[in-house]
Amino acid sequence: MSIQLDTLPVSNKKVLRQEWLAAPMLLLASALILSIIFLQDKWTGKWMSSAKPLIWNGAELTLIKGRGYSDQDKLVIKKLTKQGIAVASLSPPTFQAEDYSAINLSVSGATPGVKMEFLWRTAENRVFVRPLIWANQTLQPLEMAVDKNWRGQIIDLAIVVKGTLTEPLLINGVSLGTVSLPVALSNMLKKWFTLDRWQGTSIHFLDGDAIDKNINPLLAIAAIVCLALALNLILAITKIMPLNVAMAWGIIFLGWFILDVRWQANLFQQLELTHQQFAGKTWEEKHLVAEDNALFDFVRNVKAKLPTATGRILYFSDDAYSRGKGAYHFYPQNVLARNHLPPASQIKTGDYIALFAKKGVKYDRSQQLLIWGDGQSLKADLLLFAKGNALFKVH
Amino acid sequence: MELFTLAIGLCLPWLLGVVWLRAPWLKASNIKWPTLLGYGYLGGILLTTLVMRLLDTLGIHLSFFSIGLALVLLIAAGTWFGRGEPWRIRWPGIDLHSLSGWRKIVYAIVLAAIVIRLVGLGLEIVWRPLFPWDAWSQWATKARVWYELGHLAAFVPADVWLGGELAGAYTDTAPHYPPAIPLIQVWMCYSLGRWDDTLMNLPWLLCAVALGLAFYGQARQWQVPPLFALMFTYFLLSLPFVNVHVALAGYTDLFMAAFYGLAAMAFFHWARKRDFWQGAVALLFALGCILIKQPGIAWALTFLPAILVVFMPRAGLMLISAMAIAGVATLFVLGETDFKLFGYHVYLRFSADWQPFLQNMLVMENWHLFWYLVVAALALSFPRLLIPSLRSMTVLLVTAISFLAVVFFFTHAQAWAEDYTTINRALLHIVPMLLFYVMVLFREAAVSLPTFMTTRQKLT
Repeated sequence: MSIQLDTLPVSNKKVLRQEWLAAPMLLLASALILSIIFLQDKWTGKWMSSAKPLIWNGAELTLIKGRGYSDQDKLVIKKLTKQGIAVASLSPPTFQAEDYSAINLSVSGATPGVKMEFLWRTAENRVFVRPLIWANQTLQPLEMAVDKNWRGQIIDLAIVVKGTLTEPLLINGVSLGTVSLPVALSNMLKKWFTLDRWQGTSIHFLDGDAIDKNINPLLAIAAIVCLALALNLILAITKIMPLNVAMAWGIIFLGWFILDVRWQANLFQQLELTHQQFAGKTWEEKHLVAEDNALFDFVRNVKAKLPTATGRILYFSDDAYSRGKGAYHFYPQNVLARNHLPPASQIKTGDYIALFAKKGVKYDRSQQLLIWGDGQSLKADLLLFAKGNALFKVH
Repeated sequence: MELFTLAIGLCLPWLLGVVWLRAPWLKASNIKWPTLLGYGYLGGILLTTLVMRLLDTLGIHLSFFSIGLALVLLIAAGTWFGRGEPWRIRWPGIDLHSLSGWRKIVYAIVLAAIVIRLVGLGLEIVWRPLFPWDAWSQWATKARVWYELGHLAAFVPADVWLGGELAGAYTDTAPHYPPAIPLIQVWMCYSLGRWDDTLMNLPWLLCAVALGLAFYGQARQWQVPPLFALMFTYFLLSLPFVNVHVALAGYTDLFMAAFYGLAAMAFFHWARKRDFWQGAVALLFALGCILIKQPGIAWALTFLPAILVVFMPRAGLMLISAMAIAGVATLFVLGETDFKLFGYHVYLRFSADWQPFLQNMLVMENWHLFWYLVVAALALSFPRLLIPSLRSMTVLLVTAISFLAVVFFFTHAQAWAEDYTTINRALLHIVPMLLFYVMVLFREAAVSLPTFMTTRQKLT
């Protein structure tokens, strides 16, 4: 696929024989040029830093609000105050904010209702706060270099926990990463290779939530490839190197391949998680260990109460996911999934009614009466009741 | 034992497609083996679903035995019809060995990258229970019922179901959707001998494999050099959004993309050399689109303007241009209105919002560098897009893009673009075709470049 435009002198032929090397070299040169331009424009920190990273284990934190204790290098927060808050403080040796670019917090046991914030106090006795962000059940490193309040001498640090604590929260450690170009570059690469796991939306789009949005990998590689192609053209026009189509395709392919290495690494990480969670299990066992196992378990229990050949099952849930996925688990039973119960006149004797995460429906045991909506009711037997979910058979 | 029957279940449709695509009246003598294998699997699996529908219509209970027997008989018939046709299967490694130096190493690396990717995606299918939304809300619902009952019970809208007018009828969120995809899953479960909502999705892996084989085979058929053809096959199979639709199997969009892509590639070949096999296969796969998903009707119709241009190059082009202008004018005149089309309720409303497209195509990680490559190919080949050898291909491409443009800029589907739920899935349908077109543009440019340079040197 190599196309020569002119007859080549011997020296150029030698270059052509080494075209497999020319493509990566051009790509590398392009990457370096763009990196320098980018850093010149965006990099505000030090190129190299003599400061050492600051690291504390959880037990070095002092709990000043809320209840808890230190245990084996960890701080365990058991309970929040009545105001729904816990504060753990740290009094580090005074340091210059400009020497440190990122806060890393290692926390385990957090449930979805928990929110956390990072506080710092400057030598001028001013206190600033920033929320900590959760992604894939881990706290994201907090980029401080971009914060205009992360300046001057820092005398105090603290972590605030808010929300609802359903189980003890463990703070394993806190660390401050130094500001230097190598550290920033390695952090960026780490972020590029952070797992972006399957989500409900993955079938529609890949948002790359976990990836560093400051330097988008696709845009970065596209720019690098374009510049490398331009360099290739310039070298050909100036007759330093012959214009060779294979070399251009080499550059494009390598750009694509680099992006694909990142994607493949993500697929491998995801595959490892999938393997841990599901491998070696039957299809039913897989659903029982999936994130929505409570729903599968409920439907399984309901199906166990139903005769083999049933009539109709009317299944209701306020939650769209539970409604759709629950209905799927009901098949091959003849099921209809809906949000709201229809008028009683549309429900027949012998129909089954299943409710999962459904509000606004009452059952009067003494009267055996199912009541909902605007005065709608019908006679029904309660066949199953578990965790607020239920199955009825209509009289 | 169940793995053995599962393997049979995977292989029978493949064999069925291959033997029938070699039938003497299709004149497959020049077709390369990857092309035959790629088209063979997808043609065979669709034919399997038609066999299942026929058995059901005849009142025959669906089972591994009844379907398997019908497939075996059809394979035997196909083999008998094609007995005079020579098997021109060359040693698979011949393309690799035709290369020299570093190209051989790159070829092997790219091939290994493809294999690693497909194995990983296959394992994800085998391990993960049914995951994506539509898969369990409108496709596997039917599969589960039909598998357990052994016949194609009717699915009706919820209000009809609730009224109880049709005894034994079922309902789900899309009762009017075509049965092909659930029937593929039903066949897999019969092959396995039990319901399994993970292993029933293995055809999604084979769909990707078949797509890759067909793409590579058709590229080689176009005289594209082996390394260049493999590189583009790698581009196709490494696209993150294609990979997602294999790993999180259960949606129809991968099959839709494969059928439309295979129909388009065969059409391109037919338009170029009037090869009978390619023409027949283009027609069959274009019709196959209709059986996969509702929008398949529209995708099949996109071939009509391109066919018109093949037979009436200048007049056809003028006619299509006039119709396109009239069509757009009608859309603007109609303003905001609504009607039913292909089972969808369509609300007309013009609003062109490019942001979701730019974001999904050029910024997010759905498509690697694919759309940049498309832009580069179109920009570099712009003056040549309507030359005789590319004209009908370009018309097909423009028609397909126009269809998407009308859907996303003139109808309520615009909301699905804005929330990103449909945008990439709709684009996926045209991606294999578009990548092949881009490859051809670059290939034609590369072939014509030395001629152009020689002419220029002579003139100067």
